[in-house]
Amino acid sequence: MNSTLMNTLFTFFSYSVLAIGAENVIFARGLGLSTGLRMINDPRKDTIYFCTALTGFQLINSILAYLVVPLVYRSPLAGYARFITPVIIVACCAVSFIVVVLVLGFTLKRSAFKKIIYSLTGASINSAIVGTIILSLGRGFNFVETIGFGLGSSIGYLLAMMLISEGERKINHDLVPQNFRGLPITLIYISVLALAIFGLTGNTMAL
Amino acid sequence: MDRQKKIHEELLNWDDTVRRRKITLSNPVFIKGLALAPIAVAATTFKNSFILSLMVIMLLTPTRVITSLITRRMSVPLKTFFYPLVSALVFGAAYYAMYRMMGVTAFSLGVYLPILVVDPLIVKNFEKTRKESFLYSVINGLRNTAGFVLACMLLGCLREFLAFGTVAGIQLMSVSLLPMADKPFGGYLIIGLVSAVWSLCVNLYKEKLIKEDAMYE
Repeated sequence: MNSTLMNTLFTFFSYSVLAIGAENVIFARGLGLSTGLRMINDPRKDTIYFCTALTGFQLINSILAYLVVPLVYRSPLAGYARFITPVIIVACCAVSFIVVVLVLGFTLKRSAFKKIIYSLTGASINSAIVGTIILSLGRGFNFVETIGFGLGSSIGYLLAMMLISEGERKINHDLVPQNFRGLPITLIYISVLALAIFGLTGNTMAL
Repeated sequence: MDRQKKIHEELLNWDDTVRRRKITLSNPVFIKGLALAPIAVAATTFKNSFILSLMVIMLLTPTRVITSLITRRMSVPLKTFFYPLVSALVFGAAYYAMYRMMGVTAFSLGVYLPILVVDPLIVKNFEKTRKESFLYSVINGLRNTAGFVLACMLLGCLREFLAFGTVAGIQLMSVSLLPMADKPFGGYLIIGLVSAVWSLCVNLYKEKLIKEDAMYE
Protein backbone atom coordinates (compact mmCIF):
# COMPACT_ATOMS: atom_id res chain seq x y z
CA MET A 1 0.00 0.00 0.00
CA ASN A 2 2.76 2.40 1.06
CA SER A 3 4.90 1.33 -1.87
CA THR A 4 2.01 1.99 -4.33
CA LEU A 5 1.44 5.43 -2.83
CA MET A 6 5.16 6.21 -2.98
CA ASN A 7 5.32 5.06 -6.61
CA THR A 8 2.34 7.25 -7.51
CA LEU A 9 3.86 10.27 -5.77
CA PHE A 10 7.22 9.62 -7.42
CA THR A 11 5.59 9.40 -10.87
CA PHE A 12 3.62 12.58 -10.21
CA PHE A 13 6.68 14.59 -9.14
CA SER A 14 8.90 13.12 -11.88
CA TYR A 15 6.49 14.22 -14.60
CA SER A 16 5.99 17.61 -12.95
CA VAL A 17 9.74 18.26 -12.71
CA LEU A 18 10.28 17.10 -16.31
CA ALA A 19 7.56 19.45 -17.52
CA ILE A 20 9.03 22.37 -15.56
CA GLY A 21 12.58 21.88 -16.81
CA ALA A 22 13.59 19.58 -19.65
CA GLU A 23 10.18 19.64 -21.34
CA ASN A 24 9.48 23.29 -20.55
CA VAL A 25 6.41 24.39 -22.43
CA ILE A 26 8.04 27.62 -23.67
CA PHE A 27 11.76 26.90 -24.02
CA ALA A 28 11.51 23.35 -25.39
CA ARG A 29 8.24 23.57 -27.34
CA GLY A 30 7.32 27.24 -27.74
CA LEU A 31 3.73 26.52 -26.71
CA GLY A 32 1.79 29.58 -25.56
CA LEU A 33 4.64 31.96 -26.42
CA SER A 34 2.59 34.37 -28.58
CA THR A 35 -0.13 34.55 -25.91
CA GLY A 36 2.50 35.03 -23.19
CA LEU A 37 4.26 37.86 -25.01
CA ARG A 38 0.92 39.59 -25.64
CA MET A 39 0.08 39.18 -21.94
CA ILE A 40 3.43 40.64 -20.80
CA ASN A 41 2.92 43.70 -23.00
CA ASP A 42 -0.69 44.20 -21.86
CA PRO A 43 -0.68 46.52 -18.80
CA ARG A 44 -4.16 45.28 -17.84
CA LYS A 45 -2.84 41.75 -17.22
CA ASP A 46 -0.72 40.61 -14.30
CA THR A 47 1.77 37.78 -14.97
CA ILE A 48 1.30 35.95 -11.66
CA TYR A 49 -2.47 36.25 -11.73
CA PHE A 50 -2.67 35.21 -15.41
CA CYS A 51 -0.44 32.16 -14.88
CA THR A 52 -2.28 31.12 -11.69
CA ALA A 53 -5.56 31.18 -13.62
CA LEU A 54 -3.86 29.22 -16.43
CA THR A 55 -2.67 26.59 -13.92
CA GLY A 56 -6.22 26.12 -12.63
CA PHE A 57 -7.64 25.80 -16.14
CA GLN A 58 -4.82 23.47 -17.17
CA LEU A 59 -5.65 21.05 -14.34
CA ILE A 60 -9.41 21.12 -14.93
CA ASN A 61 -9.05 20.76 -18.71
CA SER A 62 -6.45 17.97 -18.45
CA ILE A 63 -8.84 15.94 -16.27
CA LEU A 64 -11.84 16.65 -18.51
CA ALA A 65 -9.95 15.79 -21.71
CA TYR A 66 -8.45 12.65 -20.10
CA LEU A 67 -11.98 11.43 -19.34
CA VAL A 68 -13.75 12.57 -22.53
CA VAL A 69 -11.33 12.09 -25.46
CA PRO A 70 -10.94 8.27 -25.02
CA LEU A 71 -14.74 8.01 -25.40
CA VAL A 72 -14.38 9.28 -28.99
CA TYR A 73 -11.86 6.52 -29.73
CA ARG A 74 -14.40 3.95 -28.48
CA SER A 75 -17.30 5.45 -30.43
CA PRO A 76 -18.33 4.85 -34.09
CA LEU A 77 -16.40 8.06 -34.90
CA ALA A 78 -13.08 6.44 -33.87
CA GLY A 79 -11.80 6.60 -37.46
CA TYR A 80 -12.07 10.38 -37.38
CA ALA A 81 -10.88 10.83 -33.76
CA ARG A 82 -7.66 12.58 -34.79
CA PHE A 83 -9.67 15.25 -36.59
CA ILE A 84 -12.31 15.62 -33.84
CA THR A 85 -9.91 15.77 -30.85
CA PRO A 86 -9.17 19.55 -31.09
CA VAL A 87 -12.94 20.24 -31.10
CA ILE A 88 -13.38 18.09 -27.98
CA ILE A 89 -10.46 19.78 -26.18
CA VAL A 90 -11.77 23.28 -27.01
CA ALA A 91 -15.23 22.17 -25.84
CA CYS A 92 -13.68 20.97 -22.54
CA CYS A 93 -12.02 24.40 -22.18
CA ALA A 94 -15.37 26.07 -22.88
CA VAL A 95 -17.16 24.00 -20.22
CA SER A 96 -14.50 24.70 -17.55
CA PHE A 97 -14.46 28.41 -18.43
CA ILE A 98 -18.25 28.71 -18.20
CA VAL A 99 -18.31 26.88 -14.84
CA VAL A 100 -15.53 29.12 -13.42
CA VAL A 101 -17.22 32.29 -14.73
CA LEU A 102 -20.56 31.25 -13.23
CA VAL A 103 -19.00 30.42 -9.85
CA LEU A 104 -17.06 33.71 -9.76
CA GLY A 105 -20.11 35.64 -11.00
CA PHE A 106 -22.20 34.37 -8.08
CA THR A 107 -19.49 34.73 -5.42
CA LEU A 108 -17.64 37.96 -6.32
CA LYS A 109 -18.80 41.57 -6.35
CA ARG A 110 -19.53 42.99 -9.81
CA SER A 111 -16.48 45.32 -9.82
CA ALA A 112 -14.08 42.53 -8.77
CA PHE A 113 -15.62 40.15 -11.31
CA LYS A 114 -15.18 42.67 -14.15
CA LYS A 115 -11.57 43.19 -13.11
CA ILE A 116 -10.55 39.53 -13.36
CA ILE A 117 -12.70 38.35 -16.26
CA TYR A 118 -10.37 39.99 -18.79
CA SER A 119 -7.37 37.96 -17.62
CA LEU A 120 -9.43 34.77 -17.44
CA THR A 121 -10.39 34.97 -21.12
CA GLY A 122 -6.75 34.81 -22.23
CA ALA A 123 -5.63 32.30 -19.61
CA SER A 124 -8.44 29.82 -20.15
CA ILE A 125 -7.62 28.90 -23.73
CA ASN A 126 -4.26 29.07 -25.42
CA SER A 127 -1.77 26.79 -27.11
CA ALA A 128 0.05 26.05 -23.82
CA ILE A 129 -3.09 24.35 -22.48
CA VAL A 130 -4.25 22.69 -25.71
CA GLY A 131 -0.72 21.63 -26.70
CA THR A 132 0.00 20.04 -23.31
CA ILE A 133 -3.28 18.12 -23.39
CA ILE A 134 -2.63 16.84 -26.93
CA LEU A 135 0.90 15.77 -25.92
CA SER A 136 -0.40 13.92 -22.82
CA LEU A 137 -3.10 12.15 -24.84
CA GLY A 138 -0.73 11.32 -27.69
CA ARG A 139 1.80 9.72 -25.34
CA GLY A 140 -0.85 7.65 -23.59
CA PHE A 141 -0.18 9.06 -20.11
CA ASN A 142 -2.19 7.58 -17.24
CA PHE A 143 -4.22 9.79 -14.88
CA VAL A 144 -1.37 10.58 -12.44
CA GLU A 145 1.09 11.27 -15.28
CA THR A 146 -1.45 13.54 -17.00
CA ILE A 147 -2.05 15.60 -13.86
CA GLY A 148 1.68 15.74 -13.02
CA PHE A 149 2.60 16.77 -16.56
CA GLY A 150 -0.21 19.36 -16.72
CA LEU A 151 0.70 20.91 -13.36
CA GLY A 152 4.42 20.93 -14.20
CA SER A 153 3.73 22.51 -17.60
CA SER A 154 1.79 25.39 -16.11
CA ILE A 155 4.38 25.96 -13.36
CA GLY A 156 7.06 25.85 -16.07
CA TYR A 157 5.02 28.38 -18.06
CA LEU A 158 4.80 30.69 -15.03
CA LEU A 159 8.56 30.49 -14.38
CA ALA A 160 9.36 31.05 -18.07
CA MET A 161 7.02 34.04 -18.26
CA MET A 162 8.55 35.58 -15.12
CA LEU A 163 12.04 35.13 -16.60
CA ILE A 164 10.94 36.62 -19.92
CA SER A 165 9.07 39.59 -18.43
CA GLU A 166 12.00 40.40 -16.11
CA GLY A 167 14.43 40.05 -19.03
CA GLU A 168 12.23 42.23 -21.25
CA ARG A 169 12.12 44.91 -18.58
CA LYS A 170 15.92 44.99 -18.40
CA ILE A 171 16.83 44.71 -22.09
CA ASN A 172 14.38 47.24 -23.51
CA HIS A 173 16.50 50.31 -22.90
CA ASP A 174 18.41 52.86 -24.96
CA LEU A 175 21.59 50.77 -25.32
CA VAL A 176 19.75 48.25 -27.49
CA PRO A 177 19.77 49.31 -31.19
CA GLN A 178 16.38 50.70 -32.20
CA ASN A 179 15.60 47.93 -34.71
CA PHE A 180 16.24 45.22 -32.11
CA ARG A 181 13.94 46.69 -29.47
CA GLY A 182 10.72 44.83 -28.68
CA LEU A 183 10.09 41.46 -30.34
CA PRO A 184 13.57 40.84 -31.91
CA ILE A 185 15.62 41.27 -28.71
CA THR A 186 13.02 39.34 -26.68
CA LEU A 187 13.24 36.38 -29.09
CA ILE A 188 17.04 36.44 -29.04
CA TYR A 189 16.90 36.45 -25.21
CA ILE A 190 14.47 33.50 -25.25
CA SER A 191 16.76 31.64 -27.67
CA VAL A 192 19.66 31.97 -25.20
CA LEU A 193 17.49 30.64 -22.35
CA ALA A 194 16.20 27.79 -24.55
CA LEU A 195 19.76 26.95 -25.58
CA ALA A 196 20.72 26.68 -21.90
CA ILE A 197 17.82 24.27 -21.23
CA PHE A 198 18.76 22.17 -24.27
CA GLY A 199 22.38 22.16 -23.11
CA LEU A 200 21.31 20.80 -19.73
CA THR A 201 19.14 18.06 -21.22
CA GLY A 202 21.75 16.97 -23.77
CA ASN A 203 19.83 18.21 -26.81
CA THR A 204 17.12 15.55 -26.57
CA MET A 205 13.50 15.46 -25.49
CA ALA A 206 13.23 13.66 -22.15
CA LEU A 207 9.89 12.00 -22.96
CA MET B 1 0.88 65.28 -57.88
CA ASP B 2 -1.00 62.05 -57.23
CA ARG B 3 2.07 60.43 -55.72
CA GLN B 4 2.69 63.46 -53.51
CA LYS B 5 -0.90 63.30 -52.23
CA LYS B 6 -0.64 59.54 -51.70
CA ILE B 7 2.60 59.81 -49.72
CA HIS B 8 1.23 62.65 -47.62
CA GLU B 9 -1.92 60.69 -46.79
CA GLU B 10 0.08 57.56 -45.99
CA LEU B 11 2.21 59.50 -43.50
CA LEU B 12 -0.73 61.40 -42.07
CA ASN B 13 -2.60 58.15 -41.39
CA TRP B 14 0.50 56.05 -40.64
CA ASP B 15 -1.30 53.78 -38.15
CA ASP B 16 -3.95 52.96 -40.75
CA THR B 17 -1.28 52.40 -43.41
CA VAL B 18 0.52 49.98 -41.09
CA ARG B 19 -2.73 48.19 -40.23
CA ARG B 20 -3.65 47.79 -43.90
CA ARG B 21 -0.26 46.46 -45.03
CA LYS B 22 -0.29 43.21 -43.10
CA ILE B 23 2.13 41.47 -45.45
CA THR B 24 4.94 43.97 -44.97
CA LEU B 25 4.49 46.81 -42.45
CA SER B 26 2.58 44.80 -39.83
CA ASN B 27 3.59 41.26 -40.70
CA PRO B 28 1.81 38.87 -38.30
CA VAL B 29 5.03 36.96 -37.50
CA PHE B 30 7.94 39.41 -37.74
CA ILE B 31 6.20 42.50 -36.37
CA LYS B 32 3.31 41.21 -34.25
CA GLY B 33 4.90 37.98 -33.01
CA LEU B 34 1.88 35.76 -33.75
CA ALA B 35 2.05 31.98 -34.35
CA LEU B 36 5.54 31.83 -32.85
CA ALA B 37 5.21 28.24 -31.58
CA PRO B 38 4.57 26.57 -34.95
CA ILE B 39 7.02 28.88 -36.73
CA ALA B 40 9.89 28.50 -34.24
CA VAL B 41 9.58 24.78 -33.64
CA ALA B 42 7.92 23.27 -36.72
CA ALA B 43 8.87 25.52 -39.68
CA THR B 44 12.34 24.00 -40.04
CA THR B 45 12.21 23.02 -43.71
CA PHE B 46 10.49 24.05 -46.94
CA LYS B 47 8.20 21.01 -46.67
CA ASN B 48 7.13 21.71 -43.07
CA SER B 49 6.57 25.38 -43.87
CA PHE B 50 4.43 24.40 -46.86
CA ILE B 51 2.25 22.15 -44.65
CA LEU B 52 1.87 24.92 -42.04
CA SER B 53 1.06 27.51 -44.71
CA LEU B 54 -1.50 25.25 -46.36
CA MET B 55 -3.28 24.77 -43.03
CA VAL B 56 -3.32 28.52 -42.31
CA ILE B 57 -4.68 29.19 -45.82
CA MET B 58 -7.55 26.77 -45.17
CA LEU B 59 -8.12 27.91 -41.56
CA LEU B 60 -7.63 31.64 -41.08
CA THR B 61 -9.97 33.38 -43.52
CA PRO B 62 -12.89 30.91 -43.23
CA THR B 63 -12.73 31.11 -39.40
CA ARG B 64 -12.63 34.89 -39.47
CA VAL B 65 -15.52 35.17 -41.95
CA ILE B 66 -17.77 32.69 -40.11
CA THR B 67 -17.11 34.23 -36.69
CA SER B 68 -17.59 37.79 -37.95
CA LEU B 69 -21.01 36.78 -39.26
CA ILE B 70 -22.15 34.97 -36.12
CA THR B 71 -20.53 36.78 -33.17
CA ARG B 72 -21.68 40.35 -33.86
CA ARG B 73 -23.89 40.56 -30.79
CA MET B 74 -21.72 38.45 -28.47
CA SER B 75 -19.78 39.75 -25.44
CA VAL B 76 -16.01 39.16 -25.18
CA PRO B 77 -16.21 36.22 -22.72
CA LEU B 78 -18.65 34.43 -25.02
CA LYS B 79 -16.56 35.18 -28.08
CA THR B 80 -13.52 33.75 -26.26
CA PHE B 81 -14.91 30.28 -26.78
CA PHE B 82 -16.99 30.75 -29.83
CA TYR B 83 -13.93 31.73 -31.90
CA PRO B 84 -11.83 28.64 -30.99
CA LEU B 85 -14.87 26.36 -31.38
CA VAL B 86 -15.48 27.61 -34.93
CA SER B 87 -11.75 27.45 -35.59
CA ALA B 88 -11.63 23.84 -34.26
CA LEU B 89 -14.52 22.81 -36.52
CA VAL B 90 -12.91 24.41 -39.59
CA PHE B 91 -9.60 22.81 -38.56
CA GLY B 92 -11.18 19.35 -38.37
CA ALA B 93 -12.44 19.67 -41.95
CA ALA B 94 -9.17 21.20 -43.21
CA TYR B 95 -7.05 18.54 -41.45
CA TYR B 96 -9.15 15.77 -43.01
CA ALA B 97 -8.83 17.41 -46.44
CA MET B 98 -5.05 17.58 -46.00
CA TYR B 99 -4.96 13.94 -44.93
CA ARG B 100 -6.87 12.99 -48.10
CA MET B 101 -4.46 15.07 -50.22
CA MET B 102 -1.09 14.10 -48.75
CA GLY B 103 -1.73 11.04 -46.55
CA VAL B 104 0.14 10.66 -43.25
CA THR B 105 2.50 13.52 -44.19
CA ALA B 106 -0.30 15.76 -42.89
CA PHE B 107 0.38 14.40 -39.39
CA SER B 108 4.15 14.97 -39.55
CA LEU B 109 4.06 18.25 -37.58
CA GLY B 110 2.48 16.54 -34.56
CA VAL B 111 0.97 18.97 -32.08
CA TYR B 112 1.91 22.08 -34.11
CA LEU B 113 -1.00 21.90 -36.56
CA PRO B 114 -3.77 21.32 -33.95
CA ILE B 115 -2.53 24.19 -31.74
CA LEU B 116 -3.18 26.63 -34.59
CA VAL B 117 -6.83 26.32 -33.52
CA VAL B 118 -6.15 28.52 -30.48
CA ASP B 119 -3.21 30.55 -31.78
CA PRO B 120 -3.68 34.35 -31.56
CA LEU B 121 -3.05 34.44 -35.33
CA ILE B 122 -6.42 32.72 -35.84
CA VAL B 123 -8.45 33.75 -32.79
CA LYS B 124 -7.06 37.09 -31.54
CA ASN B 125 -10.10 38.91 -32.93
CA PHE B 126 -12.29 37.76 -30.05
CA GLU B 127 -10.76 40.56 -27.97
CA LYS B 128 -12.07 43.20 -30.38
CA THR B 129 -15.36 44.85 -29.53
CA ARG B 130 -15.67 46.44 -33.00
CA LYS B 131 -17.99 44.66 -35.44
CA GLU B 132 -16.49 43.45 -38.72
CA SER B 133 -18.26 43.55 -42.07
CA PHE B 134 -18.15 40.49 -44.31
CA LEU B 135 -15.89 42.18 -46.87
CA TYR B 136 -13.52 43.56 -44.21
CA SER B 137 -13.13 40.12 -42.62
CA VAL B 138 -12.39 38.51 -46.01
CA ILE B 139 -9.82 41.16 -46.98
CA ASN B 140 -8.12 41.22 -43.58
CA GLY B 141 -8.16 37.42 -43.38
CA LEU B 142 -6.45 37.15 -46.78
CA ARG B 143 -3.88 39.85 -45.88
CA ASN B 144 -3.00 38.07 -42.61
CA THR B 145 -2.78 34.74 -44.43
CA ALA B 146 -0.44 36.21 -47.07
CA GLY B 147 1.73 37.79 -44.34
CA PHE B 148 1.98 34.48 -42.49
CA VAL B 149 2.70 32.43 -45.63
CA LEU B 150 5.48 34.82 -46.68
CA ALA B 151 7.12 34.70 -43.23
CA CYS B 152 6.67 30.93 -42.85
CA MET B 153 8.10 30.03 -46.28
CA LEU B 154 10.97 32.50 -45.91
CA LEU B 155 11.94 31.08 -42.51
CA GLY B 156 11.47 27.46 -43.63
CA CYS B 157 13.82 27.92 -46.61
CA LEU B 158 16.36 29.92 -44.57
CA ARG B 159 16.45 27.40 -41.73
CA GLU B 160 16.69 24.42 -44.09
CA PHE B 161 19.57 26.10 -45.92
CA LEU B 162 21.41 26.99 -42.70
CA ALA B 163 20.84 23.61 -41.02
CA PHE B 164 21.24 21.18 -43.94
CA GLY B 165 22.59 23.20 -46.89
CA THR B 166 19.47 22.39 -48.92
CA VAL B 167 16.35 24.28 -50.05
CA ALA B 168 13.22 22.25 -50.85
CA GLY B 169 15.42 19.15 -50.75
CA ILE B 170 17.83 20.47 -53.41
CA GLN B 171 21.44 20.35 -52.23
CA LEU B 172 23.05 23.81 -52.50
CA MET B 173 25.98 23.34 -50.12
CA SER B 174 27.78 20.28 -48.79
CA VAL B 175 28.24 21.85 -45.35
CA SER B 176 25.68 23.11 -42.86
CA LEU B 177 26.40 26.68 -41.84
CA LEU B 178 24.34 26.66 -38.64
CA PRO B 179 23.33 23.14 -37.53
CA MET B 180 21.24 24.53 -34.65
CA ALA B 181 18.91 26.31 -37.12
CA ASP B 182 16.42 23.43 -37.06
CA LYS B 183 16.17 23.42 -33.24
CA PRO B 184 13.65 25.56 -31.31
CA PHE B 185 16.37 27.83 -29.88
CA GLY B 186 17.80 28.27 -33.39
CA GLY B 187 14.29 29.14 -34.54
CA TYR B 188 13.92 31.86 -31.89
CA LEU B 189 17.32 33.28 -32.79
CA ILE B 190 16.64 33.35 -36.54
CA ILE B 191 13.13 34.80 -36.14
CA GLY B 192 14.59 37.46 -33.79
CA LEU B 193 17.29 38.41 -36.31
CA VAL B 194 14.91 38.43 -39.30
CA SER B 195 12.44 40.51 -37.24
CA ALA B 196 15.19 43.06 -36.58
CA VAL B 197 16.02 43.25 -40.31
CA TRP B 198 12.29 43.49 -41.10
CA SER B 199 11.89 46.29 -38.57
CA LEU B 200 14.89 48.09 -40.13
CA CYS B 201 13.27 47.87 -43.59
CA VAL B 202 9.97 49.26 -42.22
CA ASN B 203 11.83 52.17 -40.59
CA LEU B 204 13.84 52.84 -43.78
CA TYR B 205 10.62 52.83 -45.81
CA LYS B 206 9.04 55.36 -43.44
CA GLU B 207 12.14 57.56 -43.58
CA LYS B 208 12.07 57.42 -47.38
CA LEU B 209 8.43 58.54 -47.40
CA ILE B 210 9.20 61.41 -45.00
CA LYS B 211 12.09 62.55 -47.21
CA GLU B 212 9.97 62.35 -50.38
CA ASP B 213 7.16 64.24 -48.68
CA ALA B 214 9.57 66.98 -47.55
CA MET B 215 11.02 67.18 -51.07
CA TYR B 216 7.58 67.75 -52.65
CA GLU B 217 6.78 70.46 -50.11
